[in-house]
Parts: sequence; structure tokens; C-alpha cells
Amino acid sequence: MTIYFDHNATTPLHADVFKAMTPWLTSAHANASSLHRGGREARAAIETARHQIATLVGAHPSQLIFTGGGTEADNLALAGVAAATRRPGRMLISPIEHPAITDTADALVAAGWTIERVAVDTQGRVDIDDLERRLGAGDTALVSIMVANNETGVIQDMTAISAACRAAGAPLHTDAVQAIGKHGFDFASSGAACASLSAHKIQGPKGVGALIVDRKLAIDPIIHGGGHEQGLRSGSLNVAGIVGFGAAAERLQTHRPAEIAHMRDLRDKLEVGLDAMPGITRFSADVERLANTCQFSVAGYDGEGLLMLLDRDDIAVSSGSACAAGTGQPSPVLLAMGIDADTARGAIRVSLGPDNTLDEIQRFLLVLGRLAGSTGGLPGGLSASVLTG
Amino acid sequence: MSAGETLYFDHAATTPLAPGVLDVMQRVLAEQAGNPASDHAPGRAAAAEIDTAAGALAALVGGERRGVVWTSGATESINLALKGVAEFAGGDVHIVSVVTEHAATLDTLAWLQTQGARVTRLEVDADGRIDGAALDAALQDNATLVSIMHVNNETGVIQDIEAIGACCARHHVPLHVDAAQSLGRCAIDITAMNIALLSMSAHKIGGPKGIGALYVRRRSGAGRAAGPAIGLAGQIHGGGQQSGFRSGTLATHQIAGFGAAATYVTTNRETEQRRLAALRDALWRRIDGALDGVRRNGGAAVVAAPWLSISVAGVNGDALLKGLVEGAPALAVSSGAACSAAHGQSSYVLRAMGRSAAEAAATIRFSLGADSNDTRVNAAAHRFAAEVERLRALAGTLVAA
Repeated sequence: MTIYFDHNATTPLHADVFKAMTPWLTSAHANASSLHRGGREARAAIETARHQIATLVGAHPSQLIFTGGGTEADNLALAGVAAATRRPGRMLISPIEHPAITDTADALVAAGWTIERVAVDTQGRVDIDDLERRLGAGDTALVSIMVANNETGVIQDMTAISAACRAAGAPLHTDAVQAIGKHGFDFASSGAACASLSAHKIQGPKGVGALIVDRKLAIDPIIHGGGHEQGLRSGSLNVAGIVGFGAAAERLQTHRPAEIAHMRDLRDKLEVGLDAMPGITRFSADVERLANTCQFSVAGYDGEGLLMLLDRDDIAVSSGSACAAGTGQPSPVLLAMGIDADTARGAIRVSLGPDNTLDEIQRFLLVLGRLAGSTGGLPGGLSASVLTG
Repeated sequence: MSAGETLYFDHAATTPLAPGVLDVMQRVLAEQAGNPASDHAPGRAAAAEIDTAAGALAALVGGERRGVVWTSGATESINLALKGVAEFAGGDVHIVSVVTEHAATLDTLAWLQTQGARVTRLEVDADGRIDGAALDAALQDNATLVSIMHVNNETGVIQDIEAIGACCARHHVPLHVDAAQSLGRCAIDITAMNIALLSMSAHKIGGPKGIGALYVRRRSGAGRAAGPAIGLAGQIHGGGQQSGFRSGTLATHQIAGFGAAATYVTTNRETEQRRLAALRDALWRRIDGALDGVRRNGGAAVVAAPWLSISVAGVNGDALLKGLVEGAPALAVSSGAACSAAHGQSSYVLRAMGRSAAEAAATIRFSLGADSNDTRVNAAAHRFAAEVERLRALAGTLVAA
């Protein structure tokens, strides 16, 4: 049985979510835009899901624009705000954003935009002074800073960030994809003008996400044709996927506190074990992180090599973002935090889920200890024994 | 049939899942939880599902699996094709298309015009077809891309893609085909038809909603020589999945469902389309025999098997559609495209074919599919004729009063 420690890449679909989706894959198959009864029922199901998700994230249902996933939502935020702006201007992002933001930002640079990256400290937290200084230096069409980082799990001080943006009159976008399941996110109180969500990070289906958009934000669509979703995202709606997203949101609403506590407990025990091993460097260890995430490097190991060795032992972890898998490049997130390239190249990420167990943590530590320890199996064994006490 | 049953004649809007598709999706949802971009066992297992699906879809259109770029649906595919080619080409962009295209194409072209692109929209004749000479003339004006739908969503009219492809080849202009409605219903061969880009949707062929693909033709050869045969700039950025053409985590179960549907239609397309054509013709004969003042849209010889578009004289179109979809048994039909239904626009497709505004407004689209049979066709014809007669009688009473 595989030990799955890669929940920041994707989560298994929850059985209850699957159950909610099934009718919309079988008897109720109409197009949600159709005027007949089947169409109306599909539309009603989508509105229920919109309400469930909005409730989870403290938004009004009318603020949710469904997309094909978190990446598209991030693209819509940046490229959509850019498209609604008459001529290329300036945006601020952080250097630790997901590639969906950094790559979209690069595409905007090619179109004449200026993109500045706000400094982060060695723990991966946005430097608020630098943000304020840049905001004060000129007009800013959009600031995009993620709530929680997918690699390190670092949680930003969104209160300070949104206050700085508000003071400068700059709209804020935040990628809340990782935060909603493992930390929490409230759009209304966040001060953000738009925020990206994804279903498959919260035990919902892959292929559906959303951008929450404050009506006051000037934003144009990036996918045209038909005018679905208030004209901001055209294309026949993925009824079953959206229903699944709604069911996942509703389920999470109830279970999140207990799941976070469980994951935090396991993660903390994992870190006790890691800290007892030689040659382990944990990243962002001193700041608030997602309860499920631990990124570290093992001296003398290349992250991708270690990942392969763990994979042989039926343990699934990540060397960073799943999207960048296989590129052999050190994590831009870690480099931006001032981690040297060699250490960064050795990074692996453990991201836990609500179904992981203490037994799996112990097995992982044993395997890692065997791999890491020039002193035989002792460190891992020692670490694992610490946990049973 | 029970009184509560809906007679579903709206397969052009969307189709139920084909046999076997749900099983595949359920299996993948339950067993393939990994992210296909992840470099570990669960990730690779998910990636293998996607590779299999790409093979199945490529086989349906005479392509190869590495040409398949997955998207969230045909609308996104069309956006990627048109904007991607325009962005890659840069400079003077001239796109040749047709007035009767789907909103996904027309709205995207209108947006490209705001970005400086030139767009030629070819007219259609009374049958709904473009004029080859007009295409030929348009291509002489430094065309960047031709974008034409294979089968029209409202009328089912089939364009002669093979002839269009040959014309594009003569002028060395790449051809994008919107095959959302023709996939699985008409034969498609990207090589024989000289198609460079092909937009496809799963939910029109018995696959799930929310997944589509853009087929990007490859050059012949191996390794680097076998790169894409057309310059295309990705439109959704981040992560670089799918050679940078379209980033974002791939939805394994959706793609596997699309693949299963593609396999299903590959084996049964010809017999099924013959069956549907016969049923469609029977539906028309029964309606035409029962009612005066009905007219079939689209040249009968060039309409794809599932479609029957009928303009009805002497009734209000909105009242007719409302009566059909809300009465019993409910007849799930459409007045045109599902996506424009919500906006109550009269059909620009029918107007372009020379129909009056009144005719275009009083038009019903039947589109048949897997669950269509003799019994349902008879019931639908009966129900349709009765509703038209009821509305006409009502109108007569109002006039007499």
C-alpha cells in the first residue's frame, strides 16, 4: 500500500463527493444552459454548489466564477485584470508564487507589462516594508500574493498585505488554493479583490476551480464564447465537477478543524523525527505554515534522486511543485528565500492528508533514516521510537 | 412511457455518458488519485491513463497521441487555437471564418479584432454551406488561419472540410476545424482533410462535461523534427504541462472518460449514425405529414444524421419552446444553441441562411442520440404536432376575437 504524502499536489476524491457527483454523470445529464427541465435542474445544482463553496470561503455566491481549475483562475486574475486595463502598467507579485502566477506574469511582461517581485525573507514571508515601498512608487494594477505556499506551506500575513494594498488603492489577488483545506480562508475579511480556488486540493474532483471576484474589480474574460458565468468564463459548465466541488466544500466546512488538528499532530511528530536525524535542513521551520506541510532537504541527496528512492519503497512525496516535476531545476521558491542552489536541489516536500496515520509517519522515518543515515538504520529507528513514547 | 418521462432530443447541447464511460471514470476516481504530473508511482499511473486516452482520441481522428492537448472543453480549445495562432504569428493577422460559427469562435474573433486582427466572415447559402470560390478569394489576402466548424450546432449543416482543407493547402494557410459537433458523428481524418488544429469536446460524444481537446498536427519525422506543424502560443500559463500549450493539473478521470467515449464511438459511429439518420427522417416525415407550414432548415443532403431543425409558420417561437419543454410529456428540445438560449437571441445562423426574423424565431432543433428510438420519435412527433396545433388554434381564437 502506497504511503501517499503528496496532498499539496492533489488529494484523493472523498467517497461522499463521489456520491454527490454520480447522479450528474448518469440520469441527470443535461446542459446547464438548456431551457428544458433537465437544464434547469442542472442549473439549480450548480447554484447549490456555488452557495456551498461561497459559504466555505466567506464570499457571496454571485462572486464565484467557475473555471477549469486553479491555474485557469490564476490566469484569469492576472490576464483578466490586464485585459481590462487600457494600456500595459505594473503589477506586483511575490517571487514564491505558483507557476500559474509567475508564468502568467512572464507572459504579461512579453505584452509590455512591468512585473515587480516583492522581497521575501529567509523563511519565505513577504517583506511588508518592501511591499509598501513598491506600492508607493507608482500605480499598481494588481498585487498577487498567495495565502499559503504550495512548497513550504508558509502562510502570509494577509492582514498586513491587504492593509498595505488598500492604503495604496491597489487591488489584491490571492491564490488560496492551498489554504482553504489546510488553513482556512475568508474572502470577505481578507481584503482581496479576487481569489483563486481549486477543487482537487480539498478532496474534490480535478478539472474544476473558481475565481472569486469582487464586483468592483475591473476584469475581462480570457475565454470567450457564449457568455457563461456573467460573461467572465464561457464554455458549457462541468455540472458533475462543480457539484463535486460543492460537496467537497460542504464536507470540509464540517471536518476541517479536526482534520487540521490531526495533520498538524502527525506533521509535528514527523518533524520531531526529522530533527533527530543528521543532515536534515527544514525550510520555513520558524514561521506559521500549513498544518500538513514539511519541506526539507537531506544532506548529500538530490531531491529528485531521493524522491525516486522513496518511490521504490512505495512512498509518494514531491520534490516541490508537481507542475515542475522532472525539470531538474532547484525550486525558485527556495532560491528566492536565499537558500543556496545545492541545498535547494536537495529539497523534498511531505504534504499530509486527513487519512494519513502515525504508522505511516513512522514507516517513512524508518525508510528515510535508512537512506539518510551513514550510521546505518539507527537515526530513523531512533526517530520512529521517539514517536511511540 | 410514463407521463413523467422526458423525451430527450437535445443531444447537440450535450449527451448522456456512453456505455462503459461511467465505469472507467469511477475506476479512475477511486484508484488513480495521483497528480499525473507527479514523478512517483501514483503520478505515473495517472499519467498512463492519460496516455491511453490520448491514443483513443487520436485514433478517432487519424492522429497520433502526442498531438492531443487537453483543455476544459471545446470553447477553451477554440480560444486556444485562434488566440494561440494569432499571438504566435504576431504582426498582420488575418483570420478567415464563417458567419454561422459557434459563439466560441465568433466572440473570440471579435476580441481578436479589438487586438488589431483582421477577420473575414464568409457568408453561407440557403443550405448553410460556404462558397468555395469565396474561400479561395479570401485566402489570397495574406490569410493567417482559416477557422471553420465542421457541423453547425443549430442546423447540423456539414461543411465540406475535405474541399476546404484542399483549398487551404493550395494557399499554404493552416486550417482550424471546430469539430465539437462532428466528432463521433462524421468521419474525421486530419491528414486527408489537411487539418492543422482540431477542437473537440467530450460531452457531445458521450463523454463527461468539462473536458475537451485541441489536436495539434505534428510534422512527420522523429524526435525534434516531429514538432508541432503549426506555431501556437499557449494561453493558460503555469507549470508548463502539455508542452506549454496548456498548463494546469490534468483531470485524469475526465480524460479517461473522454478516451472511453472516443473508443466507443470509433467502433459504432457508422451504424449508429445510419440508425439516427433513419429515425430523424422518420421524425420529419411524421411532422411534415401532420402539419402545414413547417420547413426543414439546412440542405437535407448536407445535414448530419442527428439534426432536424424545423421552422414553424403561425406560432410564436418562445411560446412553442415553452409549451414543448414544460408540457407533458416534456420534450427536451432547443431553439438553437444551448449557450445562447439563456439570452433569448434570435438565431443568426438561420438569418444567415436567408430565413426571416419571424422564421428564425419560430425554430425548434431536434437532435437525436443513443436513447432515440421509434417509440420516442413517434411520441415526439405527436407531441410536437399537437403543441403547434394548440398554439395555432389559440392564435386563431385571439384573431377571431
